[in-house]
Order: sequence, then structure tokens, then C-alpha cells
Amino acid sequence: MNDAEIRERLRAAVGEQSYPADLSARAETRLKQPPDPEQHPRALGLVAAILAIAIVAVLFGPRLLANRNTVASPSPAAAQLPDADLAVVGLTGQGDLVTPLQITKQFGNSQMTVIGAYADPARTVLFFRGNAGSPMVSINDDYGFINASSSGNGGAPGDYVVILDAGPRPGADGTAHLKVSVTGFMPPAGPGSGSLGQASWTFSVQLPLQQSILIAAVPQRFLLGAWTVTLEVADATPSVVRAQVLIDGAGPGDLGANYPVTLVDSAGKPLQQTSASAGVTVPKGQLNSSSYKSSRLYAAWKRPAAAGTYQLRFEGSGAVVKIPVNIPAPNANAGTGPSPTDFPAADESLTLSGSLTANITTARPSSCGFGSGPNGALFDFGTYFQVGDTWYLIDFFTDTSVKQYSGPGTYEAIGSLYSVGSNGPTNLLFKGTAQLTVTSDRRPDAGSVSATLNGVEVIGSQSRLTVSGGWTCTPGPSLGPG
Amino acid sequence: MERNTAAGDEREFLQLVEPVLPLAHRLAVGLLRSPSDADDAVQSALLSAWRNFGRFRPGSDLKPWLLTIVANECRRQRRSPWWSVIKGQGESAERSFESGMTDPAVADLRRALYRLPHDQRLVVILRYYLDLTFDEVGQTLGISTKAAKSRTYRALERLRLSPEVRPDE
Repeated sequence: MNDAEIRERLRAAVGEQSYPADLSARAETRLKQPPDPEQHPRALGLVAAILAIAIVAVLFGPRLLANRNTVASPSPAAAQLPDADLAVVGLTGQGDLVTPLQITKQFGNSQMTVIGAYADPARTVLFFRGNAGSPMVSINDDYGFINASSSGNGGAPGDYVVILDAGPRPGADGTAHLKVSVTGFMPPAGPGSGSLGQASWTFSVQLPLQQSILIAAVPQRFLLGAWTVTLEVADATPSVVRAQVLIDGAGPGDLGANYPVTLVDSAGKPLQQTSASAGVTVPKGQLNSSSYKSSRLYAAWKRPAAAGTYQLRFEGSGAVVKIPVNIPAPNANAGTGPSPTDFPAADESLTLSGSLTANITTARPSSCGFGSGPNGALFDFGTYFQVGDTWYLIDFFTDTSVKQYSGPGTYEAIGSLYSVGSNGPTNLLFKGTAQLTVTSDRRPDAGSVSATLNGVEVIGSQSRLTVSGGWTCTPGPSLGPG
Repeated sequence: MERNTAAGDEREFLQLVEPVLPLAHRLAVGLLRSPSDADDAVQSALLSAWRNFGRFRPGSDLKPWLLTIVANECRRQRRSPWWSVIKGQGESAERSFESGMTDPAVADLRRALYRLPHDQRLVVILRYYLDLTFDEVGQTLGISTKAAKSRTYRALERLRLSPEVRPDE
């Protein structure tokens, strides 16, 4: 392709915009405006005085005043949200999942009210109402800033819905504690639009975290052309369906303009994607020749209103793989996932040390035995176990890219540990390699394992978990992978 | 020109940068996609340029200097935690723009372009949307001509637009 062709294609892609004739005049007006205080030397004294007052306020304010930040609790008097607001978030008919709030703040002649909030593992949503414009917010939870893409959408007239494409992390009491900062507003469209309205408004919200349900077995590994794909997360929250996929063999730049995973209905029609992003799997400073060709992809789609069988469709590297997923109707979320105690107990002698310490003598295996996947024969041992009141799922499956399973022996394996909520194992905490020894693959199956698993992003890559000891399980019709 | 000291200098400054403004606006449109964001970015960049005009070396080429400031302002806007919120409001317009593209390959290229890292998107826009020479691209980015070529070809490879000329040729 020559320069002229490249130029032509890129210009078509970017589009042409005419140069605004009045730009120079507007710039001149702006240049003539008084400089901002921080840029004006004569204002330094004033800034210093304000800083001094601020320091005094920080030091003594808490003693003199009660907490002036608004701490919001659900407002029983708040009206039900309009359908248009709920529709923006994919929560039509599920208004009861939104925590109603009534937190109002005056900004000069404008007023803004937070009328509701919602959170699930994939999303944090705030509903605003008022005439100040679209709020610009940042959200922290107990663990710090929630770093995710966000978007502002209009719902009902006068309402603004802010959607953050990440869920808050639950606090010690199981609920999310959000600290929301509103620093400005984009004014409503019309004359004068384009300049930001300043704001300094902080309030706190305590929210229940809505649960997600598993829609496919995870982790699930398969070949996609020359790529090795691991489906790490596949679940449905009340508002979205999401997938997290590890792709070995392709860096983010190799994935192409259209990411290689879509959610399609039974007729093959793609569902509306609400967010998607891809990144490297290690911090950029740690990239090497192998991790450079590895990427992790996140994608979410608006949850379909109708229950049914859909497909996660993977297309890339010249191949297509479809994984059927069963998605129940949104309001049928509760109680649909299997409970750890649904699986029969088995004796184990596993020792966990490092970030999580436990001696597991009894557990509830959910995967046991060998089976065939798109990538060949493998052996899988996975079991639920309990530490205190918390259930976890630990899973080891032999790495088919290293060796196909061919009977008892020692195999390279992939190990993962998940925390388990009321609707299944939804949060991957640790992942790594293991040596999985199978001494018997006839009922009851038995063997041993030795693994070092690394913490994933949510708990920090410095975290380590060592697993060793013996395992037993008995294959059954309700157990994977066969 | 005595810089940034006397009232009325603003007009003189603007007269100096005026010839570059259409190019500066085009750069901002290319980087930010939105004409209104581009307007804001250029105005902010001009303010910044005016305040820092004392650092501009007399006799230097004003074009790359101003384009650098505009590019930095665009990056600052995109890095702002609020940029994605603000952009979200324009999403429907963006989608309708893309749906108005009859050629799916063009829409794909547009999406791929805006997924490039800032530095790579910048070289592509400078070279092919603003028609700068590689020398000028290098000056704007503060890198050598060879590095500008190399960065441009890497970006084109990511866009699946294989150029005929390789950087080492």
C-alpha cells in the first residue's frame, strides 16, 4: 500500500471537519481573560492564606464539626426510578436492585440530587437528577480508586446515569462502601455549552453488591487457530454478561480492530456490547518475549431480557470456537448457581500456605476425572473447600499444550483459586502452574499436587499461595469435566 | 515581539500563530475525534503557548512548537479521568458517525486507530492527516527523522496498513 492509499484510507476513517472561522477570535477572548489564580503571582499570597486555612481546617475541623461529607443511606421515601433510567443500565424491571438515595447539593443556581445507586461485580452505577449538567465523578471503595472506564448517559429527561465499567470490591461486612467525588459538570447542551462547571462535592454510599451467576465452566482452555485461549470468567450480573479471556499467542495489538469474542443469540445475532478492553498480562516493565504475545481481554454485553441458550463466539487466528452458555432471565438470578454443599464430600490432605493458610481434610470436589475438550484430553480436579465462613474453589487441570492426558502419571497443570459467593465462584484470586500427579483415575480417583499460585490483579501480584498434598474425588454425573 | 508582558500582545501573538491554527485544529480533531473537544483543546493549548511564549526560541519554526503543545493538550484531555465520562455523552453521535460509514473496513480502521497508544496515533495523524514530512513529524515529537519513520511504520503495522517503504530502506 503506498502513501497516497494510506492517506486516503486514514482520512476516510478520521473524517473531515471544517476549521471554525471564529476560533482565533474565541482564542483571543480567552487569552484576554484574567489568568487563573494559581498562575498569577499577585495571587500567591491569597493562595497561601487559603492553604493555611485548609490546613487548620484539616487539623481541627474534625474536632469542631461532625462529618460534613454526606453519608448516604437508602432513602425509603425516594421514588422508584423512571424506566428510562433503568433501561440505560439494562435493569428494566429490576428497579428493586437499585438503592434509592436522596442526596441534594446546590451549586449556585443549579441543583443536583443523587437519586439512586447500583453495583454488581461488573458495574458501578450512579443516578443523578438536576439542572447542573452531566456530573464528572471519581469513585473510591475501601481499597482505593476504582480504575475503570466510565460513561455518562442520559436516561429520563433531567437525569444523568454514570456507569463505571467495574464493580466495587466488597468491604469487611460484604457491602460496598463508596466514596464518590463530583468535581464538575458538563453543562446541558445548548448555548454556552462546552465549558465545565466546577464542583467540589463528596458523599459516601453504602451499597449491597448484587451477585453474578456463572454461565459457563471456568477456567476453560482451548485452541483458537494458533492462539491458546483460556476463558477465565464467564458470568451474568443482573445488568450485563461478561467474559474475561486470556489469549496466549497474541498481544493486544494482534487482536485486531474487532475483539475476537462476541456474545450471540441462537440465530447468530450479536448482542449489544457495553464495554471491551484488552491489555497486556503483566506490567509493561516486565514484558518479555513470551508475555508480549499474551493478552487479557475483558468484554461485557447488555444482559438479554429473554432466558435462553446463547453462544460466546471466539473468532481469530483463522479459527472459530463457539461455547454455548445458558443465561436465565435477569430476574431469575437468585439461587440459580450450584452451592458447594450440592457436591458430595471427600477426604483430602491438602495444605495451603502463603497468603491463605489452611489444612484441608474434607472438601467438596466439583470436577473429577478425565475428559476431552476442544484441545484434547485432560484431567481435571477441582474442589470447593471452606476456611472459616468463606468458601473457595481450587481447580487443577492438565495443560494439554504440554502433554495430552493419557493415564496416571505426573502432568504440568494450570491451577486457579476462586472465592465463592452465593452464586458460585466468580472471583479469580490466584492462578499459576502446578504439578498434578494422578495415581488413580478409576473410582475413587486419587493423586497429589504441588503448586505455586500468584495473586491476580484484584489482590495484588505479590501475593503467593502454595498448595501441596494429596487429593481424592469420585467422578459423578454432576461433576466435570466428563 | 516583547513577550507576554504588555496588553495587546495577545493579538500580535495570535497573528503569529494564526497560519498554524488550521493545522493545530486538524491535529486536535484527529486526536480527539470531536470538533468541540478539539476547539477546547486548541484554545487551551493557545493559552498554554501564550504563557510559555518566553521559552520559544526566536528564529525556530513555530509550527512544530505549537503542534507539540496542542498534542500535549489533547493527551492531557484524554488522560483526564473525566474524558471518558464526557466522551460517553457523545457516544451515540460517535456511533451514528460510524454507522454512517458505508464501508465496514473504514469503520474498523477508525476503531483501530483510536485504540492505538497516543504516541503511535499521533505520528499517524501528523504524517497522514496533516501531511507533515517525517522531518516535521520528528521535530514535533522531539525525535529523530528515522525514529519518526520507525514509529510511523510500527503504527501502520498495527493498523494492518503495510507501507511499501520499510523504515530501514
